[in-house]
Amino acid sequence: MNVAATSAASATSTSPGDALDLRDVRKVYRSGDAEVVALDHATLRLANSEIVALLGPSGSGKTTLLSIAGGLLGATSGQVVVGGHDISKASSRELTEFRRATVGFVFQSVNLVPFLTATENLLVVDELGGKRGRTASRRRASELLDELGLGHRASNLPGELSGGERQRVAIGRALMNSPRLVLFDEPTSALDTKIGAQVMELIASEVKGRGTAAVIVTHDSRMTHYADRTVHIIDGRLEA
Amino acid sequence: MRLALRELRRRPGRFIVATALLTLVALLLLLLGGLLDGLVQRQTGAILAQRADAVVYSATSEQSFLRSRVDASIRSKLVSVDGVSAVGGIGVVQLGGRVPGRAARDLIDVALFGYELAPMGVPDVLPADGEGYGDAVLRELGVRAGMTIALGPARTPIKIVGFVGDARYEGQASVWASPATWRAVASANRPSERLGDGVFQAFVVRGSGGAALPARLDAATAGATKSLTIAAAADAQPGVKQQKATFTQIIGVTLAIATVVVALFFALLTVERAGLYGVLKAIGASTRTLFAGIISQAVAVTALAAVIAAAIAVVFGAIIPADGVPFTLYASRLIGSVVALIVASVVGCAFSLRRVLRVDPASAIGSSS
Repeated sequence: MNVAATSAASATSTSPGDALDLRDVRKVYRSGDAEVVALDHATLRLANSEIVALLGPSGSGKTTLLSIAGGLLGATSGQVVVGGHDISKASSRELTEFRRATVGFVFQSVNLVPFLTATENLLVVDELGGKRGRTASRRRASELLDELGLGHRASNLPGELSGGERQRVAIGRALMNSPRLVLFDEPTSALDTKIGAQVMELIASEVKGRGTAAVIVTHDSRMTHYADRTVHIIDGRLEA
Repeated sequence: MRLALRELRRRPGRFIVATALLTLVALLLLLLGGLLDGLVQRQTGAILAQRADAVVYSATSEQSFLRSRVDASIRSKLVSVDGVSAVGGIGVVQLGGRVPGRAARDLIDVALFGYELAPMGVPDVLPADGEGYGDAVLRELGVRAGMTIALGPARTPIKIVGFVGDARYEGQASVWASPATWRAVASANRPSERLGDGVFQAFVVRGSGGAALPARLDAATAGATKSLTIAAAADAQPGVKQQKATFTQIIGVTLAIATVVVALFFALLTVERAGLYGVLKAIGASTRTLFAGIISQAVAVTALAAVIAAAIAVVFGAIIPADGVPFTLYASRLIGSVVALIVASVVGCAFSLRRVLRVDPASAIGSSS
């Protein structure tokens, strides 16, 4: 599979197929002679524009599922198809390009680059791909920040932003490459309830407005009503 | 890479310690190089100043002017060698010199050369008998054009009619005079070193052939001579090879220290950045991109340190007196040291590569730190 070529196409067109199609995916970790099954025959499909909340206790396999769907981790068995592209057998280099072009991530602890302004944090995805200072990218970053209500904070460093603002910048970064799928790892865990709700509303509107699918990992069942459906995961098994 | 350079610009404080350490290392490197070149220049400046391609000594002289004797028969054989364009006699006598304005016992060491082929900076026309060109060291010691200095126990007067660059011989200031003046001064002050007409201590030869020329010259004299290129003749002076070997070893250790400084600093920085690298890898940065960023930071920090150190070294070289600390900073030494330091920093960075490779992009997920 040529992820680089197909991913680039997916960034600009609406290729057919589900945004995410996990088929009978297993992930087994070995610890000495013992085997730990982190994901047990997981099957999950997300249509375009669909938002799924993934709910489960600690150690249930949420992070493993998110990492496999985002090309950060390889599955032991099963098939992983994102935006029509099978990444089950992709090489490390292909996965790097896949992550840059096809998926977006919003991490639990925001993880913006501390010495870059809000705008530059959005443009960093382009820079990592060797594209520098493209006018179109700058315009897109500016538009995204405006949509996220951060137009006036474009030149601020992360340290000068509030927790909610930082999370909004992270959402902008995840959307910069027009991904088919955005993976949110407990996006509200570091925020208070009110700001958390605002961020979830923003996520729902931005993701839906772009026809992008999203998986939102959360501990907080109050946040699940922003999703189209909720999937529970317990001991590596998915339960609708 | 752009990301890394932006970090340098926006967070200079993080790199101050490394820059300061590397500046000191670079300064040490340049001072050591300058001292080595200064010592060699003091010892061999008169030889390095020769506008020639080889120096020809007698075979048994062990490349010493004092012990060497070459005569007209040797000269005629040298002239007949293919590619040789000029052969000139040269001789030196080392004496104490009295300079007007100095106390009677405040002698300065002077090496008076008699020459036929003018070295660098000396006019082709020989000075008149009893006259000579002083080198820059003599001028530093207060001698002026038109001044007459007295050489040796016979107090032979030599009028200084002009100056050349630093052309010291065995640490002594030099005066460049005609062969007749040299013979006269040697006869008056060192009768035992008196040489007959047509006999010199050595010949300097201009000719083609490069490093192969000396062998051809010696072949032409059937082994009666020992010829060396100018660089080899300088190295053959007493103690020069030992000085070079000693300083080269110290310079090597200094470069090793620079490598370790860079390796340690960037290894620590990489450990500190592991979380950020995990995130950047997760959003599509390749190991190559991240490592190139580290190298660009190391090169930039090293280059800045080298520029600061070079400025200090140049100022140091300009303010020290010529007869004080032996210090000569050549452009080639400066450029060579900076390049070596930058190579050392890149090598030092390579130790961080393993750590960057080991950063798992999956670590960005599920981490609240």
